[in-house]
Amino acid sequence: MSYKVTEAQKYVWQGAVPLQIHLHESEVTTVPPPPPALILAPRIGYLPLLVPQIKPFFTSALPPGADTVWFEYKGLPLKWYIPTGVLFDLLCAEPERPWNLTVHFRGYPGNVLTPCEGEDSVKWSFINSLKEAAYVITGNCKNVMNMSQSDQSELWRSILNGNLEAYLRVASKLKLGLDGDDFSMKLNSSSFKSRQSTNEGDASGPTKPGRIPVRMYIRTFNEDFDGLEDAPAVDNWDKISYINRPVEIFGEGKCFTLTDAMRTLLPELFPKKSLTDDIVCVSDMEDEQKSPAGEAGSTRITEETGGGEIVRDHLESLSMLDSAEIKLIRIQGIEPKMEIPFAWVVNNLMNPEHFIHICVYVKVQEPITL
Amino acid sequence: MVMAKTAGILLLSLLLTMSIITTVDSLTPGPCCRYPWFSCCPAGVKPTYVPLPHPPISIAISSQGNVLPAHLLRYIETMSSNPEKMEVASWDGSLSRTEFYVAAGAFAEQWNKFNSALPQCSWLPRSTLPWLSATTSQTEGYLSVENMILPNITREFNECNDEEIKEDLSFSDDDGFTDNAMLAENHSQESCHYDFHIVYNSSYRVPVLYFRAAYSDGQPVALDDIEKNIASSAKALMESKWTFITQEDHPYLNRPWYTLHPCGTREWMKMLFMNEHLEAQNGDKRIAKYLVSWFSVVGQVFGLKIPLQMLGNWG
Repeated sequence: MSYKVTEAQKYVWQGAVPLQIHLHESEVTTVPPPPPALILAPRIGYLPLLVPQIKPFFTSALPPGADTVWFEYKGLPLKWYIPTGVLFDLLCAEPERPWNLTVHFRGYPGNVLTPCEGEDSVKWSFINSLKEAAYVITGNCKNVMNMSQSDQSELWRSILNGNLEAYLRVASKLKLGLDGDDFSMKLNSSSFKSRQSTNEGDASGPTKPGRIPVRMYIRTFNEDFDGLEDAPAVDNWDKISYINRPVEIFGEGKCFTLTDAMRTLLPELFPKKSLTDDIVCVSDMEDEQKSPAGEAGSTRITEETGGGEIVRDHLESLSMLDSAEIKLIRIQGIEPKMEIPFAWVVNNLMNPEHFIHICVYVKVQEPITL
Repeated sequence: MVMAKTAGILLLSLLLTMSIITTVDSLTPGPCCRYPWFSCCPAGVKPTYVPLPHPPISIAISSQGNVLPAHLLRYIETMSSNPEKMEVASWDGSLSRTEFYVAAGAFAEQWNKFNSALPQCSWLPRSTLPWLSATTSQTEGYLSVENMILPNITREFNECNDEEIKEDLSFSDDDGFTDNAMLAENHSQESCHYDFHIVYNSSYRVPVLYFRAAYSDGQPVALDDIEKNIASSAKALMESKWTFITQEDHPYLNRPWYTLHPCGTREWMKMLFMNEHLEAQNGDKRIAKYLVSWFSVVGQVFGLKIPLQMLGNWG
């Protein structure tokens, strides 16, 4: 059995953020201080996994004591269980390259960050998320729980090594409905029904998900800014709202777009417009999957397949509440067009733990007070 | 006392048995810790792993003098006599977000009515998303019971702590995030202040308990000490493995709180309701008593007794 790898998936798996990591000055015991470490961090990876590579740069400068490694960006301790690419998308409004992070080997801020003991903690967290995603999609965790030991270690190794082929080989056994075109066709076909519906059609096919695991991170700005480079930095996790909620897919015979998905999560920001009901569905996913990811890619996709019939409801034209305005929606480093089929997003832009991570920047007008 | 103890053990074994004979495979989330790799414990919590041969779920009730809720006793009786009841119910044990909101209202009302001596239970709306409509931010909230004083966690100061203090002092200014100053006071026998939040989990479609604990001087209680306390009141429960305490970010507060993992909740809630009369199984009544029943089990972890009236009222 062969596994169809889309171009976009390859981009996602090869995606990396160049990091320039500085040792926090309070932990420098040598003169001169150690130079920063430069390293490419995989988007789908996690910061603690980089520690074995960066520690040699700093080890001679460290004060005595036990290591409790954590990272910080502009004063914000970084949550280690969030994929590196998501942190970058969320915290660097205007992408900064290299991304300047500070590493600490001492003084773990246990009041802000959950404990982390290196790779083991990350692995537990990853599998926990995978289990949760499986539960969302199929209604149980059975397939994840019943994996063989060798599949388990192969799956984890594929994440560590960024080996997409190896990952798909194991992940397809989980039958989470994301192993190929079948899913996208079902998601878009008129016969698509939610999980609760009857099992019509081929029983041998993968489970038909009616719920898609989504993790959304919302940055809310009170002040206006012109370009993204002027967006104020996040100095506190209180300024980020985290919504871990599946997208429920309803309806049949209608193409379910990214806008529709966002509407189920943030109904106030995506009021229902009668026009959007008339969107013509993209029927041929084959064409899309040949297109590369990235901003240019996703733009071309929608233009090619739209045939002029897609209603162009760009972000700007959506009639949102007067007080709130969406500045940016970013998934895997790209700003997808809102009218692309959500199935395309799911199939191409999900992280290996089967969650779609969406970063949203919202500007809120302060109510005018006299 | 002896009766309660026996009943507790009986319930444990019964539920173990039930979980073996149950045929609702598709609903079974599976054992949390069947493989060390797949435990529910993320984030640096490495549980002492004991392989469980089959039971997907096991529930045990504290035998420390707690009176078993009447409906649990009824459950035992019903299950002993006709276990085939297992098959008939179609409800899967989960709640929608709206149902959770309704259930929370019922729970808070009951709690405040029958626990007047305890801190009040209140519903906190989501306040961090300013564009939410009043209705949405209201239903998006969570239940909170704060500053509940629970007795008897011993806080011991041994050599280990002394070492920590020395170490802390030598790097006392290494960052701006932690206050490493530790007061070497003796907190033995001191009571602890617990905050409990009941939060809806959209993935598992069940309520989840988040909690934190502090001594009266504000020092947080370490997980080890919390577990020590639990060990005395609900040992069996902790041994049952579904109640792993892990530290995770509170979904509303973005700070590490302790939590009981929810992946088995739907299953045992289904079992709890299995014995109810059909009338109680339909919609409104079930929702109204969902959280009370849920807390009658979860509260046992902390030795919390639900007043019988809270449960008795349901007939």
